[in-house]
Amino acid sequence: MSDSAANSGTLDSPRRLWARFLAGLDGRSRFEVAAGLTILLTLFFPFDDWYFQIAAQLLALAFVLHPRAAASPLYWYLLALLGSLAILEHWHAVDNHKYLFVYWLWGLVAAAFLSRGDDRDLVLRRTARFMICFIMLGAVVQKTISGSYLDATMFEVILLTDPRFEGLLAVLGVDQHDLALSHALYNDLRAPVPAIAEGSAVLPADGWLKAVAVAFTWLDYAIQVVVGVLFLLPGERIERLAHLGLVIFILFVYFVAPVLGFGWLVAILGMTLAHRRFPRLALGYLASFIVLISYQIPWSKVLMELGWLEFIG
Amino acid sequence: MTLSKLVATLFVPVIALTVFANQLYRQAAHDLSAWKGGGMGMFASADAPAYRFARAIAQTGGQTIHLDCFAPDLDDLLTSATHEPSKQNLSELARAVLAKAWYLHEAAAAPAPSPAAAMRFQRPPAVRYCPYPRAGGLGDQPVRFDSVRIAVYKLTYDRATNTLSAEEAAALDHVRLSSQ
Repeated sequence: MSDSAANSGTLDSPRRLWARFLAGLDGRSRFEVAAGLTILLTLFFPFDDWYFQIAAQLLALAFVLHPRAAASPLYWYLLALLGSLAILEHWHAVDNHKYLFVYWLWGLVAAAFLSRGDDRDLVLRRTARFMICFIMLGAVVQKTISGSYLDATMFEVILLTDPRFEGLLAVLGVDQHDLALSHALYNDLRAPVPAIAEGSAVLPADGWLKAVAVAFTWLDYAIQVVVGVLFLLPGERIERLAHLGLVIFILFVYFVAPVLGFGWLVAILGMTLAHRRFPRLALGYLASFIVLISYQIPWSKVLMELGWLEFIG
Repeated sequence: MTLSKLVATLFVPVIALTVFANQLYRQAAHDLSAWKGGGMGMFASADAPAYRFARAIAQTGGQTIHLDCFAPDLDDLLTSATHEPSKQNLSELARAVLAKAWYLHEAAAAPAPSPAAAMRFQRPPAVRYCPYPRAGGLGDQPVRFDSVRIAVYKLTYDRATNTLSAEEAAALDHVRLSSQ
């Protein structure tokens, strides 16, 4: 609200509010933007460990009361240290994106230790670029050497047995009876007490599901190769393309595989790079945060309630 | 570039690449799942944690018992043994199982089999032991197992035949020593 609007008790027009928002965003340093978004990440998608969650909540409170607190290396050091502890405690069980989360926290520690604002922004930009390339190309390396990715085995078995994909597959028209049967067979096979004498079962995978698995396999692989390589190359036009690819990656991949904390982190990395340099793409990243939040809506159930989707569960 | 800027720039890459290299090594040497250990292998392999599981089969007084009831400390060891079935991890789990006092809880209510599995359903005698007393079971005598077999299985999927199979990937038999 503008001062005059506030004084007169009237509201700014949406257009003026938007302009003020953009100006406010542009006035913030790269470090400030990255820090603010990362604080939200520590609250929305924290580690399960109580000590990390309590520290994240207290530090977020400190940030709200005194925003400059997040400029201190100690602020990020505490979070990075507790995140590292959480990983060390159960490193076998922790998902890969939690490792990335901690790397990013350490990146903020390293940047915050530098006294000049320009140096902080430069280090943060380099860390963000490295991490995007590492995420994309590291995954490409694993997918290439795994022996069960490129032939679509991975996606086919996951689509058949992982209940997280039920909603998406319902939208795509995959037979829900077949999926229910696959889930039951999968659960029987891995029961602590053997439930299926032969130790194997034939899953009802039809041609359509196999085609979906092949499409997911190659779309995911291709976009990771393209985005990873583009972020390695110099040039403004190439970087713009890289960002566009990354926004598409976020919107597509995290719709299919709802690992939303990972999606947030990748969007923060992209936002850190695009801020001030590519304002429209930066807005694309901001929009992707909202879209990622919307992915938590149980769409298939909503569509089913509305009668737009026939679901047999 | 100043030294402090160089250190700050290289800090994350050095940590990330070291962990990545360690993950690749453990994947090759200790069968660590590609999905775990900081190696960017989520959705990269069908060998996901969801397709690995462990079975613990204990012996006491000539009775064989399939264990499916654990406590948090055993759960952590079970996760480690499943995600990375090295001899050390299997052995630590087996030792912990034998070190615990186990209590007879109940004849496990066998979950109803799925329609497809109904014809092939096979379940051993349903006796359930847990490593803690049952509610209201004051005075129940604990049991210590004589030996335990820990087996880690992988579910593998054959696209050509649509067959999902459970195959033993690693196993270890551990017998209680008199000092344990």
